[in-house]
Amino acid sequence: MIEIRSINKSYGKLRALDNICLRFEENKIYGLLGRNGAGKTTMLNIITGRVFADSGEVLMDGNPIPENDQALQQLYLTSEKTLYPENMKVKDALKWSKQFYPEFDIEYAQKIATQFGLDTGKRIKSLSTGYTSIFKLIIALSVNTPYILFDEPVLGLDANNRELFYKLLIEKFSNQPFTAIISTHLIEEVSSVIDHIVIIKDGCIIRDESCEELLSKGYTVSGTAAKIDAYICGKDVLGIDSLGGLKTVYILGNIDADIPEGIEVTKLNLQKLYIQLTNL
Amino acid sequence: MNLKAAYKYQLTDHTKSVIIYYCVIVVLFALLSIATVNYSTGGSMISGMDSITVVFLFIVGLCTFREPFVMLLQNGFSRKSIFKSRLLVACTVVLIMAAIDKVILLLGKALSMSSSNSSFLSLYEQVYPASTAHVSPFLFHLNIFVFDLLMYFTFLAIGYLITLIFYRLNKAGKIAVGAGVPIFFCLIFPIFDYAFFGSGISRAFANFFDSIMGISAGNPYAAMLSFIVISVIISALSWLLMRRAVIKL
Amino acid sequence: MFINFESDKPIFLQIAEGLEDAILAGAFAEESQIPSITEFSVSFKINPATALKGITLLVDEGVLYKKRGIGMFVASCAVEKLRRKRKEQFYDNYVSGLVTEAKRLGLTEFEIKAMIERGFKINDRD
Repeated sequence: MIEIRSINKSYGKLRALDNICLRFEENKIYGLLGRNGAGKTTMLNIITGRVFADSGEVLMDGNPIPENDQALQQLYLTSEKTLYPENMKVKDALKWSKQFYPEFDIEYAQKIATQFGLDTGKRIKSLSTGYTSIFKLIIALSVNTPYILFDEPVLGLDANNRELFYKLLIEKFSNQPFTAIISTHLIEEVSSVIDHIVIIKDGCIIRDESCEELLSKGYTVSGTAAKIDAYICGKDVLGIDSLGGLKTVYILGNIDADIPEGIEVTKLNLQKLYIQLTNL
Repeated sequence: MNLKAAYKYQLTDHTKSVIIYYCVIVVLFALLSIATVNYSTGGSMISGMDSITVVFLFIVGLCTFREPFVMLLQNGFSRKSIFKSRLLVACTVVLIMAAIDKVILLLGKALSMSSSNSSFLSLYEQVYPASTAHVSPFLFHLNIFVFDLLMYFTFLAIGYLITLIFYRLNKAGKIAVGAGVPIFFCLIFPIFDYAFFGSGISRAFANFFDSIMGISAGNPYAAMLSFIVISVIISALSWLLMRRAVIKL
Repeated sequence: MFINFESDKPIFLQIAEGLEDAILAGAFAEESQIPSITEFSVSFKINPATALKGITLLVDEGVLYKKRGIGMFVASCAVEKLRRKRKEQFYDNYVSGLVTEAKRLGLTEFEIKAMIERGFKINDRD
């Protein structure tokens, strides 16, 4: 289990992370969601000890992670920025990965590279944005560490390769469970894949619960403006969409037992909920 | 721990440049020898092969921090492990290069022996001519070897430290240090020193350098000791800087 | 089988219903093996826990059963069970909504009955 205890991090005047507390349990898929600049990358970099927090602790099974080789070897983070030498060939990067991570499955890596259509003889710098992402994903899927962190994994991937990535991820997870943390702003793609959702906004955690729990907490009502306005009085309203005399309102809370006539109630889907939660 | 992989990775990083370096050196010496044999009328002298290696290692030091550092962080190494393996790699490279230079020196000496009017000298022999006279050949060559070894390590470490300083600085700091240091030492300091102290500070520096290197005293052991002290200080500074180095976003 | 990720219906329910439809249609015969959890989750790109939840629902209802170390099988009386269940749900799922909408449109009971008769006729001809 990875535990984050009251992490703070500022860049100059910008509070990148504000008193973050989180737990990542074993063998679950987490979605770390937030808009661009919300603090997702900073958090992942702090977990993996690439960046230091101003205060707070990051623990793996109770032991601090930073500067702890044993803990660091249990983690793999695919960063948005490529940290592999530009001039290195993909196949050499795979060979080195095997050196660094004894559990790295080089045959599997080569197999999925073929599936993605990545030529392993190429140099890393010559790869397009999409294939640079694919290159990192291939290593992440083959590395076999207990914790795999994906920062914007599908950046620049076309629809087919995105689908292939999620398929491989689930296949891998089903065959040999691990903890995955997927940082993304594309909720529609991960909503069916993740167990647990963490929503981060302006450096603060605004939601940290299982997808099911979160979904059960919100609902949508729609109807004529007058009726809706009367109904939502005193309720925790997340957002309102108006269209002429009709209104759709996203509400956080349990559905009332008796809904007034003329108001239609539907469950909230994750994507709508997320957009409402992270709107400014 | 998995120190071996980090060591191997960084060593591999150096191997190519070292091989290229010696290829160039061999070609250069071959050309020089041909030129001397065919065209030179008077005596000739090839010397200071080890000073070229020093410059090379200084540049290698300048170029080898960032890439392996971020690569090894990506692959689950602590800064401590990266630093430790880096020290081991530096020792290895320096040892190998001092040994190769030794072989080249011996070969050069053997070749120059056949023609009476040319000679092949190491930096050590040039700086400490007096100390070469009264020692056994074995001790003489051992001294050169140890001297080269320590000198190489020092310059490699200095190059590495400079890059680390620049890595840690932000953009403004990089410009300030990058421009400020040369301006200070080439312009402000000499003028200041000349105007107010009659170049007394420069002279004091020169004397200090002379005495720690044992040049006037003809004592190479002073230099060896100084190299050790400088290396330790530089490496300690490097560690202090690396300890808190982060991946720049 | 098809999963609608935009739907308000939870994915595990969609999985369960999709399987029910497939069993009713005869795509999975009684006493035959159904795909594994992994196959389900990979082909629909859903979390294995979600697939498991959908399938567990049908196991609890006795439509599916588990053979240890082999996999999931369709129970011998599954089709019968499902028909009974669907018949029970027919009123809630279709009739009540139909009546509500008919009222909103001002359709009479007689008109609705006529429509239903017409629907049966057309369906029989096909």
